[in-house]
Amino acid sequence: MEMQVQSDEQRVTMRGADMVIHTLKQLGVDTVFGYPGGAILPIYDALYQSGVRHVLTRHEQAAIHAAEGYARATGRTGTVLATSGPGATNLVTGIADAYMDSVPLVVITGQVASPLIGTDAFQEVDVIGITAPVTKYSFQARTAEELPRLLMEAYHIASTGRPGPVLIDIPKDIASTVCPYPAAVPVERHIELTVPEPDAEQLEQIRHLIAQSRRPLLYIGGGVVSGEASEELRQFAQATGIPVCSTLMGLGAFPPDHPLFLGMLGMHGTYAANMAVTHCDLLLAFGVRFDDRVTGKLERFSPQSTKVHIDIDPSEIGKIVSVDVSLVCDVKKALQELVVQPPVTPDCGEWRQQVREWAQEYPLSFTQEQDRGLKPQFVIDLLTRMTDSNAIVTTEVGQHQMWSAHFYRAKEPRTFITSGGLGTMGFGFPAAMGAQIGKPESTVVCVAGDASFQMNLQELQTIAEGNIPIKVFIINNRFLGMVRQWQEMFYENRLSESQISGPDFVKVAEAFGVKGLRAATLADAGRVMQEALAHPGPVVVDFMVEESENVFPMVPPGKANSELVLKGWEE
Amino acid sequence: MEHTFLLTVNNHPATFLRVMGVYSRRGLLIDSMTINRGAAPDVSDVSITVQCDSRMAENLIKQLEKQMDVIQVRNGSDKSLAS
Repeated sequence: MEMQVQSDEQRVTMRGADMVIHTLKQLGVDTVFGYPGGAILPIYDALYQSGVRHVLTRHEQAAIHAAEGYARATGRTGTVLATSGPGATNLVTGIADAYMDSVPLVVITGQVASPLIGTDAFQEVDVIGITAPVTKYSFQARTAEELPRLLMEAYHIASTGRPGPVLIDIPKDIASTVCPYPAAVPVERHIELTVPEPDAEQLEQIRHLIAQSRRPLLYIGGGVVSGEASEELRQFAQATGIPVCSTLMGLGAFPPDHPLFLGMLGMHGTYAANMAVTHCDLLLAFGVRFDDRVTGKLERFSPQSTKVHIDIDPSEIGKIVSVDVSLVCDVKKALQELVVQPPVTPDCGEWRQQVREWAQEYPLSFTQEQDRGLKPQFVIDLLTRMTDSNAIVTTEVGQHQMWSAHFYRAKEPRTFITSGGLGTMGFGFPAAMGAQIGKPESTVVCVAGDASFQMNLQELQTIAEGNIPIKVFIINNRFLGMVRQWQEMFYENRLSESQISGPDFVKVAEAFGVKGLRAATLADAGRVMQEALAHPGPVVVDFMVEESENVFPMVPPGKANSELVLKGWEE
Repeated sequence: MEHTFLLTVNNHPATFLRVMGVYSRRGLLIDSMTINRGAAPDVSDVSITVQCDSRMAENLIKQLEKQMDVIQVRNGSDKSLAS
């Protein structure tokens, strides 16, 4: 870093780019994910030998998904660097993904020099314009002096309240300008976010509703994970005896083997969770957003219940479903209040009995015959048994994702990392790299589909080079399985473009210098998975599974949650 | 039903992009819009009129309030709030 001490004011002068790195270090950022290019060269120059770890991916999309995986596994804000133009546009999917799933990210993009902005200069795009709908906030730096303040604000905004991605666009001339480092940083924050404390009166109303209820149900989601409220949730459920169902994003927030846990609700939710949400008289929706994959046909969603919604984002209240009592606050604080001063325990023994019967009537299940091909569910169930759910699992998107939600029984928050809102194929593999970098001691497994894996498999080079020891388990059914399932069920079995070929994944892995294994039989599966989990470096395992398997239960689109299809499909 | 939203916003380059996005994303057409320099420096007063139902108007206000550069939103059609 080029630094000069000014004798009169004792203020250090440096380039804007050096300020960026200096401020990152001040903020405790020790790892960034990125890819260099023309407009961001000054920042990469400042990064050189700075002590900040940079993970060089092979595509910007992978850099941002890795930053998401890092953020979701650790709870810290992920940081991404990319250049202008195509570097920036390659980030857009990841920014949208982070926005939908409320992942704290700071994305730093290079921009063409200020005088060229708006002239269609080489590698210029209006990244602020392109990303405005999918960022929590964005800045374009106008001067070098303001860079430390912008960065501090960016990290503050990204991580406060409902987390989300914040973008800082830095023109090349601003990054190259030498000026004094601001004496006091943060100078004054332009933007200060605060989260309201839980309202005592509304808490009292909630206690009253719980005490009166005979069929209460907790419907919990990603807010409980990102709000670090799992322990309080467990205590609250335990104290009140209220059954719990979870969204995809909430998995891991509540112990899967707890007798009160009903599993996931919604389109591929369990029979018990969907019946419970349909028949409950009080729905306690904590850290959730009533996604359409959860509610099914909205008019018939949880028709008999009084609804309580606790969320940190005021704009979520009443967005989809009208609620009777709402509380805008940190869900952790609300639960703490409800644990410290608990409501009268509701008389819901009969209800718990009913819910247990539903769970026993139609549990999640599959049949693996000894002499037949591998079932995808068996592979994931095997993963649960072999790791005792002590791994961090990321997924791609599709059937294998739903089977992972069903059969990887995540027991800790931040150990099940999946693209929930945007449903981004190509997310899981780079997200696993980021999770592994954030949690070097953990076993990190990416459960992938054969098609999803092909969307970002260039990152095999990144894990090979960095010896990032993630395990990629490809559930290979030679199909875009979820697309095919919908075609079978709703498009008269017209399998338009859903059959997809893949390379020899073992040879591909080996070509990158990564260990490659394959399992095609029941006997192979156990042995190979054990070998993969024991291997100290990265591994790709190609699990050749039966291609015709589909995901059930399923609430067909446009149907109510109570109309779920349990097994097979007959129109 | 006609709703007029009265906003006070930080006058940053991307502010109007974000404010307009709240309406355009929902396919709403803007009947009229005025922007005036506000009382404080770098602050603007904005008035936007659209046709929508009351539930939509409520959601729009929350979405507008969520924007970092939106300091305040009032529903100008709601006489009880008019100052």
